[in-house]
This record gives sequence, C-alpha cells and structure tokens, in this order.
Amino acid sequence: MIRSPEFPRRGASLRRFVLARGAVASVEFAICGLGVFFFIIALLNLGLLGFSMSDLARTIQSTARYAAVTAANSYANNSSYTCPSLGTVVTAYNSYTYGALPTLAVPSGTTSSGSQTNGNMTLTTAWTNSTGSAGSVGLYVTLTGTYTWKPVGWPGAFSGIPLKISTVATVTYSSGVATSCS
Amino acid sequence: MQLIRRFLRRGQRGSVSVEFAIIATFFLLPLLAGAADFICIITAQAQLNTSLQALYFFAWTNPTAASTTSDLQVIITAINKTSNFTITLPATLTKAPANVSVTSGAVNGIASVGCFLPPAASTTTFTYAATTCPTGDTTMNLVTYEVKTSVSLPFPLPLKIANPFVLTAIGTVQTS
Repeated sequence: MIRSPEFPRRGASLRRFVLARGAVASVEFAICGLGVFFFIIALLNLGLLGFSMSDLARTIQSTARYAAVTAANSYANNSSYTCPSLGTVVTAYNSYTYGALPTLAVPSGTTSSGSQTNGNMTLTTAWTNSTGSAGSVGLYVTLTGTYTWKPVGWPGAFSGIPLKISTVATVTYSSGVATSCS
Repeated sequence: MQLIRRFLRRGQRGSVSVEFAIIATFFLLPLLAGAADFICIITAQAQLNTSLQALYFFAWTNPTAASTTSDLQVIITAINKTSNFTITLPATLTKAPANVSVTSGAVNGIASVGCFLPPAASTTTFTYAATTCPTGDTTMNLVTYEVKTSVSLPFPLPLKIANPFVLTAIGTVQTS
C-alpha cells in the first residue's frame, strides 16, 4: 500500500498536526463554536421558558375564572352555589393552554377540590367558603399550576426549573349563601 | 517581569484559549448570571400580575366590597398559601396610577370615579374625580390596587440593582 505523504504514520501525524499552522481558523472555530452554540441554545431556552411561564399564568387565570363563573351560574338553577367538578376544571384547563403545557387526563366524579398530574404538570383546585369568618368574600377557588420546565438540548443533565402560579377567583355575590362543594 | 514581557511580545500559542477565557469571564458568564436573575424576576412578575388580576376579578364580581381591605387581604393570603413568592398588599399606594384622580399615599383599594357626557363617542373627553361627577355626567366607578413582592437574586449584579429586588404592580379597574 502506498501511503500518501499527507497521511504518514500515527506518531508523526500527531506531531505534524500539533505543529501545523494550516486551517487555524477551523480549529479556533471548533473550540469557540462550542461556547457559541451553548450560548445560542441558552437563548433559545430562555425564550421557551418565557413562553411556558406566560402560558402557565394565562391558563391558570382563565381556568380559575371559568370555574368561578360556572359556580356562579349554578345559582340560577339551584338557588345555591354548586362548584364544578375537578373534571370540568381540567377540561377548561386543556382548552385554554396554548400548547406549551401538557394537557391533563380528565378525572371522573363530582369532587370539586383536588389535583390532577401529568408528568411535570400539576393542577390543584381548592374551594373555600369564607362566609362568616372572613368578611364578605364568600365562595372562592384557589387554583395552582405547578410545572417543572425542562430545557431542550440538555436531556437528563438539568433537573429543570419549577414554575408555579397561584390565583384566586371569587364567585359573584356568594357571601352568606349556602354552597354544596366537596 | 521578563516573563511577562516575553509573554506579551512572543507568546502566540494558546491565543484562542486566552481570548475565550477573557470573553467567557467578562461577557458570557455575566450574561448567564443575568439570565438567571432575569428568570427569577419574570417568574415573580408573572405571579404578581396574576395576583393583581385576582383582585380585579374580585372587584368585578363583588363591586360593593371592592375597597374592603380585609376582603382583599383574604384573597392575597389565599394566594400566598400556595405561591412561591410572598405577595403583600401595601396599606397605601406608593405610586400614582395614570389617568386617574388618585395620588400616591392614598389607601390601597381606593375608589374613584370617571365622568363623561353621554353618549360616549370617540371625541368624548373623560374627566376623573375622587367621589362624584358633575351633574349630567355618566359615572363609572373605579378602584385602584397595588401589590408588591420581592425576589432574592441568585447572582446579585454589582450595579444599582437592589437585592432583594422589589417588584410592584399597580392598576385601576372599572367595577360598574
């Protein structure tokens, strides 16, 4: 086999590579490029994080208001406030999210307060009737969304950033009125 | 000294590593530290805005109690039970909201009114008053809230940025 002068034996090849001055720019780019790509991926993830945070805040607000308005509407039919089930709230959450958050399986049953989880996302609903003990707020729902955001590009190397948004939505003129929420 | 002179004059090897070290130290690392601080601030700001929206929704659903401080505190306390950040309801407004006749130092949750001559049109000029509108004007009731929180920055910047960093959200909403 005829060996090309550009590809001599391994020891000499390594020595020549170290001493060579050709293609310096490529080697420099290979070194600095790692930092540059890291920087670009970090920027990309910062945008994704902002999108997830925005989606979480907006979805939780919209879902809480939907739950409160649904409870308020029940008064017209029953002359008492009936809180929507966790399944109804989860269905609303699934319809409001832009897609940055995972959707949740809709639970069955009539229980109003509780939580539902899918992977990194947990939605917790808690109904409180403060009538008689804390002014005139009346019936309200506390909705909490917890989402552990994980960046792209570092699979398994980063445990993620826990995002959490909590809000309260009050039910119209529910102070002093009986409720049937569980 | 001679070594330094020799290094500055003749040393060319590893120049890329030196450049990268300088850029990483003075540009990339501060940028990443700032990004971490930024993440903490935007998450706190999102929770703060959500809390202000909760007060708005309370005002819309219970307009007669919109200025009752104890009721507002019930809502903020309920949020704080599950929130990562502690939201506070200052007793008085630290800023004056725009376009409303409310000044800084007023009670948090203060009611005010907006006045206009009906029918409202694109040329209608609103006026704002503390309690009542001029005779003949249509009145819309307003309420102003302010909420605050503070966030501890993981990488405090050596600039004029306080740590913990205090965030404030203030806004006025129409109740009727």
